[in-house]
Amino acid sequence: MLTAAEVERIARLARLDLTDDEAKRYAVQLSAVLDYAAELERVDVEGIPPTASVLPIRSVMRAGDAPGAPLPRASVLANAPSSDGASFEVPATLGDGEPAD
Amino acid sequence: MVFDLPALTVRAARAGLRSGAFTSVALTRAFLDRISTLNPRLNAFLTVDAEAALAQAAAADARMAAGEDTPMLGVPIALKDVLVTRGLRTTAGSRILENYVPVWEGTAVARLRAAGAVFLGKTNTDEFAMGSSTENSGYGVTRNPWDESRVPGGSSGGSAAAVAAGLCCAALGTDTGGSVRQPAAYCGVTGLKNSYGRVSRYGLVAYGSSLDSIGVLAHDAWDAAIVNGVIAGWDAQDSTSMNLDVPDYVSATAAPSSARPLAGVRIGAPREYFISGIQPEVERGGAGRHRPTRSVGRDHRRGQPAQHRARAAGLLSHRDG
Repeated sequence: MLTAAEVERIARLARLDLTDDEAKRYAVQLSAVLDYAAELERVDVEGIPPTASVLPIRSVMRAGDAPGAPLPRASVLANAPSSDGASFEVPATLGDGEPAD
Repeated sequence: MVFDLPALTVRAARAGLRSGAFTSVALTRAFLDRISTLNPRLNAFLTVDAEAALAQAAAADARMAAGEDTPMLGVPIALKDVLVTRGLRTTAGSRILENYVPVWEGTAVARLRAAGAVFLGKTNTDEFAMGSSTENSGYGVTRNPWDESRVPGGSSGGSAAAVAAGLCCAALGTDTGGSVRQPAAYCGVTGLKNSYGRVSRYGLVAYGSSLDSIGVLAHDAWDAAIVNGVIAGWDAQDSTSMNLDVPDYVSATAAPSSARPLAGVRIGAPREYFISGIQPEVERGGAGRHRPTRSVGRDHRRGQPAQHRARAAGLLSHRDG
């Protein structure tokens, strides 16, 4: 079971402000996710090759990957909560207030 | 014109449009009226853009007047709200995307648009498709049109309910771990879950990128075949779409040749599916009768010994995207 301190640290990394009740509830839920991982760790996979994809795909150079017509700037910014007309405006993520983690 | 919308297949719509019995505008208006009446109760649609739908219908009517006769031309359909639609709000069932109006469009949607399908609107889903009941949407639950006290299944519950209630001829859904198949079963419609890679995922809000697939909710297999023929096929925008020929699904979906088309067909179900806690009426009503591991030959007795790990594997792998 995750401790309250562990849940609070995860919440801080995700920029989530949890109430005490929420932290308790999510401790149970997050622990259940880890239990699933623990359950799978018990499976013997000796000799079974990893499956990254069910498809027979491999990385290739894209011969046809030429630049097309870009979206107009106004379209790109259309859904921005905040914009100066040329760029997205977002809260600073570096500097004062940055969590130690 | 009085339409029997709950019974109106894609084929019947096309037949009526082709013969001139009705126009796409008239048909679209009828669906919009029915949505206005029933959607406040069912909450199958999150967004309806009547003006855009009628404009698409008018364009389809013009194409028909010019002699075009293609399988989806002028047919009103619905789209699960995890599919990115240009100019039409796309929320993925989340309040986070409450105001998101895409300036681009996914491949499956673009192919249907080019084919002249009419988009009535976007259907409800569990938030980011993470759920199996359409109760976990940021916009409220969708109700099962057969019994409004029950869930429609999910996460494509809005699309399944919309088809079942006659609010569209067919709909797109998406399936990562059952999200087309299960609501189709709950709502009594046909659900087609495509093999991974068959339909481009470009423009699908991801849930689990190594499992997500776009599929069809329809009145019957034939209609599902028609829609799938439009959306299937390789796409340069999705490196995991398969570069394989698209078969002619419609001619492969032959009409039943007898009144008992399943006579002699043996259906297997792994014994591990018959877990403790299964509701007795479910076991009696269907599954129990198809318990082949008891009655048939050796090859059918192997089952799926790792089945009890499936839940853990599925829940974790969904989040690899």
